[in-house]
Order: sequence, then C-alpha cells, then structure tokens
Amino acid sequence: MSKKSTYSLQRVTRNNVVTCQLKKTVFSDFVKEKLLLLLMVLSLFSCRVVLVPEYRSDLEDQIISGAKLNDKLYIDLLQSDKQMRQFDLYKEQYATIAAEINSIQLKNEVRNNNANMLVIIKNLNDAFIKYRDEHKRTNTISDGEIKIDQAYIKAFWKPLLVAETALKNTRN
Amino acid sequence: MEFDLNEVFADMINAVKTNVKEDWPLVRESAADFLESKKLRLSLLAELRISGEISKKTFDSRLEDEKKILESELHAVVVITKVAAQNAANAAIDILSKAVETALKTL
Repeated sequence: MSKKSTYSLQRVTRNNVVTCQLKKTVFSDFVKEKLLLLLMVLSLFSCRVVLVPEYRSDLEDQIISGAKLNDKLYIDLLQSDKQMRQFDLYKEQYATIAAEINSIQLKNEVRNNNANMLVIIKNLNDAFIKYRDEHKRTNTISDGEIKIDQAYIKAFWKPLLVAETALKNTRN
Repeated sequence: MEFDLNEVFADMINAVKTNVKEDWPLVRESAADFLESKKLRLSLLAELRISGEISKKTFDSRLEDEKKILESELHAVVVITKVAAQNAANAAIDILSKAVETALKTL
C-alpha cells in the first residue's frame, strides 16, 4: 500500500463523507497495485506460448524445389533407355538434391522448437541416401524400381512440406 | 472495478474452443491425406511385386520404409497440433491481458 493511501486513512476519522471516498481510494490503490503487478508479470515473460518454429517462406520454397528436383531425377531415369541408367550419368543430379536436403537440415537445426522437423528431415535424408546407394551399387535401375522409389521419396518429402505449411497458421 | 475473474475465465475458455475449432480441420485433413497416399503407395508396391517388376528384397525394403514414413507423418501431425495448441493458449492469454488492462483503466 502506498504512503498516500496510509495518509488518507488517518484523515478518515474526522469526516464520514470523506471516509467512503478515501476507503475507495485505498481499495483501488491496492487492486491497482495487484493488477499492475500481474500485468508486469505478463509483460515480463512476454507471456506467449511458443511450441513450434516460426514459419519461413524461403524454407517452404526450398522444400518444394527439393522435392521437384528429386521427382525430376526419377522422371529423367524413367525416360532414359535402360542402357543409359548408369549411376555416373545421374550423380550430379543426386549431388544437387543431397545439397538441398543438407541445406534444409542446416536451416532447421538453428531454429527453436525444431525437434519434430529434424526427425522428418533425418528420415528423408536416410531414405534418399539409401535409394541413391542402391542405384550406385547396382549401377542400373529398373522401371519398377524407379516407379517405387519415386513414390516413396515423395512420401518422405510430403510430411516436411505439410509441417512447414502448417506453421503459416500460427496466429499470435 | 470491472474485473470479474469468472467472466474472464469463461472468455478464455471460449477463446481456446474457438481456436481449436478453427485449426482442427487441418489436423483431420492432413491425417486423411496421409492415409489416402499410403493406400495408393501400398497398392503400387503390391502391383509391382505381383507383376515381377520389383524383387522380394526391394518389396521388403520399401515395406520397412513405411514405418519411417509413418513416423514422419505423425511428426507432421504433431506440428499441426502444436500450432493449434499455441494459437489456443495465446488467445486465452490475450483475453486475460486485455481484461487486466481494461480493469486498470477504470481504476
């Protein structure tokens, strides 16, 4: 309670009319102090709940671009003659996609609240390396393998895009 | 003095309900979309195996990958759910902050 409020209380005994007003002042000061304290606490901690990373449009674009490059690799493979499917002919495309995935991973590593995103990216990266190494080991790939790898790698990219897009919906 | 804690609390609950209601369809649609994609993918996998276009080894390996895809999809759904929870919690906090500010002005 402030000094001013204490002084007002001492004057109350001399005048009944003034008493009510002064009591109100004392009560108001008390409540005001409590509310101000609450407001200060709310402000001090910014009082925002943050559970997810902030949305980044450049990351969303990069995910779309990476998924597109990965899809194009399989389209190119499917269109080529079976004798022209040696790993060396596609290693540049594989390297470009790997660099995109690594870049997306790095950008996510420095974000706050990134745990879910990092698991999704790790699974994508592991699958990409697995499919690439299978191609490298056999040095060729059949139509059936191309079709299934195209479908599966797309399934690994999709949750990443869904999650990043969902971040757009944060309202406060 | 215009600070009724019960009223403020009721407003906070309503803010949470409204926000969850707005965000819930995205959770439902994404989960349904993942399931539909899974159905198509497994159908292709079975088709390619039956026609002999992929080996048993490739078939088994991709079936194993389904576990990792499911894990990624669940993490994506968790992100959507967290966005909804964040929106709801912050809307409730906004109601409380505004009520306190209003009460302070009237004193």
